[in-house]
Amino acid sequence: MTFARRAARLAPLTALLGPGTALVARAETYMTDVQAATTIFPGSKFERRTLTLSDADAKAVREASGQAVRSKIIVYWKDAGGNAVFVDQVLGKHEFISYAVAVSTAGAVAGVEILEYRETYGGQIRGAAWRRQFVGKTKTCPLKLDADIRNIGGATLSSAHVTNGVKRVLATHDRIRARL
Amino acid sequence: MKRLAALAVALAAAAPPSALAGENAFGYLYPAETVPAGHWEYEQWNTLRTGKARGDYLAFDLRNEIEAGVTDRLQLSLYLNSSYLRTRDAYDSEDASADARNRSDFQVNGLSAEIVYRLLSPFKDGAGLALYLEPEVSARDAETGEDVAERGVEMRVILQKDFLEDRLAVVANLAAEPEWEKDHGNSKKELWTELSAGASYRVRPRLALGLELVHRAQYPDMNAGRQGLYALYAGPNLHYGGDKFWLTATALPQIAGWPRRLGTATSGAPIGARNLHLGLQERFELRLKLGVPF
Repeated sequence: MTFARRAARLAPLTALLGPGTALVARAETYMTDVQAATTIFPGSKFERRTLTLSDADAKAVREASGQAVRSKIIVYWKDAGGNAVFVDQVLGKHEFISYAVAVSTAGAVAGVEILEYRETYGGQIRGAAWRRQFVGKTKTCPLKLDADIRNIGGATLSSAHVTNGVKRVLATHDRIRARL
Repeated sequence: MKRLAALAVALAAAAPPSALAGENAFGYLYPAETVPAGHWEYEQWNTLRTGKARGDYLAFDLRNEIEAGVTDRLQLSLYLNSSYLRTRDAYDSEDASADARNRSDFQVNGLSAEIVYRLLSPFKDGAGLALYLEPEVSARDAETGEDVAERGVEMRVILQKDFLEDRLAVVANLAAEPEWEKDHGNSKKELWTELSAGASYRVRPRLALGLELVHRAQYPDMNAGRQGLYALYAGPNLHYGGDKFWLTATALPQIAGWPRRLGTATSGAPIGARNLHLGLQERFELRLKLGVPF
């Protein structure tokens, strides 16, 4: 048995030792983007698409969300019902955090999944309870730490950046909804 | 046995999230971040100070520190301060007309504690603000190597503003430290101030480059209207943030100082430097900090 498989078998044991141990993250990839999509919308079939924002789109998203648009290439998965799962990155303390935001046809967050988290600490943002706060949020919500999203002590930077990222994704969805 | 080893490794890999929030990209400035509640960090500060107007003077200050996050806003620390000092044909730092004793020794200087309370977080409150208090007791003067009985309390206001999605941190510190000293029966008191500012920019994942500017001044008898000396330092810093440790190096040459003329040697020649103060300060400082969260 390889070490990786052996460690995987022990994962439930480490989870039992408490949230601090279960949520640790070091150079970890937790799921792929399509896994995230099918986790949030079970049973749906998704198709991967890309869309490039125009300068006017990027400006509109920046103005609506208050967040910089680092990449104009939008990667998303779409199902037959019109739901979209956006794959995005924000800066962590040292490395990028990759995550997926599922947005319903009504423009509300249906779920957030952390795909890659490579920081030494702050892995608590993977916790279901923290991610669940985003469900139902729309572009009109504040999406601000200590307002409608709880901060994670000791991981404020990661918490703030993911929150800002979700706000930017909602603004992006609203801008390009007709072209999805 | 193999199963036990695998279990040990798996548990080690899943160690509690370590607290790199104590990580500092600056050698001389303090950012407005604290170690998260329930986490610890060991820091080692290695500071080389060298360069006087005459003779050889080399000081190597070693500070070993343990930091603990009491709450997410409150951090407590304890330092053990020590120095290696090597001097040859140097003058007395406080009276350049007198020769200093040649020495080459390493000694523990004293202890200091640190309390940092963060009022605002730079990541969510628009700007960071923290207050810092560091009481210190010393039995040896790190500058001269002489035995003293010294007490001091450093008070510091820490400001931080981040830009560019927190890739650029701009930090300013305002510090004042009253000191009381007894040396061979003589008592004296003085006030030190340190105004510092700097920036650190993350040029790539885990690596940051920046600049630091430090202005130190001394006021004898704690008389704020009578400045005894000042020295202005400026230099670059380099920071690496790893998974299990972080490193920061700052090189800080003195670029201006006063008083420049320190006294007269027994030969009658003036002692001093053209633009620098080389009495209680040196031409050059280099600090390397190592942090290990656990």
